Amino acid sequence: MSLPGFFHSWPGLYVAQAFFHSLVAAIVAEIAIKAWNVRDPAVRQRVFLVPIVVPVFLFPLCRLFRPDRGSAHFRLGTIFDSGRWLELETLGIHPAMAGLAVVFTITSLVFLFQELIPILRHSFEGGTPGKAACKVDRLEDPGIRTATGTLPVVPAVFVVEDDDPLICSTTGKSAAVYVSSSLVATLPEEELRSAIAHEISHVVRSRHPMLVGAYLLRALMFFNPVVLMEFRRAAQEEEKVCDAFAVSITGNRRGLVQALRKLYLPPEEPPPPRGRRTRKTAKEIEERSHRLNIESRISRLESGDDHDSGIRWMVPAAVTVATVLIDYFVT
Amino acid sequence: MSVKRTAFGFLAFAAGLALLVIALKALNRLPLIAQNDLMRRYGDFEEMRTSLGIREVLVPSYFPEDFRWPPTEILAQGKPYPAVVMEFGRSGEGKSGEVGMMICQAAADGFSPGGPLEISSVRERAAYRLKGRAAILEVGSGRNGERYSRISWREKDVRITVLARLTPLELMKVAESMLR
Repeated sequence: MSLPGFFHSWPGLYVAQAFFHSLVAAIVAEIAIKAWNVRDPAVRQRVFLVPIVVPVFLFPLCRLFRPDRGSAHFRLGTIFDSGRWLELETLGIHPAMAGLAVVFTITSLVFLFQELIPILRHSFEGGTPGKAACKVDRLEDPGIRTATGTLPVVPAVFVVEDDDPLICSTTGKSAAVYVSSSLVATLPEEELRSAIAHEISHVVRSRHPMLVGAYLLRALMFFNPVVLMEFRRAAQEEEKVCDAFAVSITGNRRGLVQALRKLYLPPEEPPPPRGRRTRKTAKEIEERSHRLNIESRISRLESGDDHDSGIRWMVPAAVTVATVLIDYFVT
Repeated sequence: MSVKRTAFGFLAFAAGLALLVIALKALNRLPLIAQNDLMRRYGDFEEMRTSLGIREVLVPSYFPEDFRWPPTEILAQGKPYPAVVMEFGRSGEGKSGEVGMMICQAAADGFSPGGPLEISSVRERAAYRLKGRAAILEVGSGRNGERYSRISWREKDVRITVLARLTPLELMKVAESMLR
């Protein structure tokens, strides 16, 4: 099938319009966050979910309620008609169609190799870290036993023999928190409790139907770069939501800040001499981005409570309504 | 969150949305500047023909009472396939100027003109020989119960449709006058 043939077909119309709908939704979400200065991670996360969820349903629903949406009259009255850009032709090629096809292909490959294959591998490996053979139950480790003693909800917590200070959790049927022996030996009791409480909140929230549904819808939009970006932003907010959850059950904000610093913020290495290197490697950029994310979490924890019940549902609702109203006139 | 902050937030949000809509509308106009054969409105029939280079557009030589040449609105495109939509408003004393007849010619069966004229339910459908061409004549009603007639046939690669708030007899006269 030719490129114009694909973009004139129903699947082609769907992917193109879903992309433009999510782009508009992402801009509306950004406007809302700036307008209300939203800092509560739970609210921000809901706002970031709008560009993921709305485009999945909008195209078929609009077609259902307004069958003449593809007609000449309707398209001429819209705010933005993607068909105009897609039909642009230079030297026998459609640059906008070709550009979108490249972007969709790259995004699909990123989804495949960075998300789908790792998730499938994780599922087939049984959801436990590689050194699972060395694990011991939390009750057998005095450090963990003391740290988790006062926590209200405790899933399985295992200590894994490892020299690196690590902590992670798995979700699903075999949900558990894994702590390396090095971390147990390094962190004081209150910091260890905070770190475990953070992982426990991941386990608890992974059963949250909204998040499960959002991930499934995100997977349906595997080709959509805007959805990929917004989902990753929502995932970053998830860390902050879990931080808030951990603080709420331990009552110790400082413990989590210290744990985050020790776990994820090693002293930065001095920059290399000038002129020796002009380009940053992908690994360096990733590390820098990770560091900024951790610093943002620490800064949020140190600045106090951002919980804002007044806008908990109002801002996501306003973003949804505005997105649907504008996207209705984006064809 | 204070009421003042919430209200200010709403104002800022509305202003941001207004800017977004303006930006989208501006972006929507750019392709029309770059390429002149995209779907757009034309004020004049000859301007449309010259601009798109469409040689053959069938036009009626017979107009029922209240309708006259030129069309009140013309929508046309050259790409991805040629399509022309001509709408005729009712004119004359005491007439509102509302669109009462539409002629659509498109080189693709899937083309949908849309617009104010629409048959929501077809009451009768019959095959008809229109000066030797196989045509389909339909009679039905619109959303508000107004009566419509529609005739469509194929002229080489082009599907021609005439839809009007007229009796089938009047409509056939219009269609026949489009063919030599």
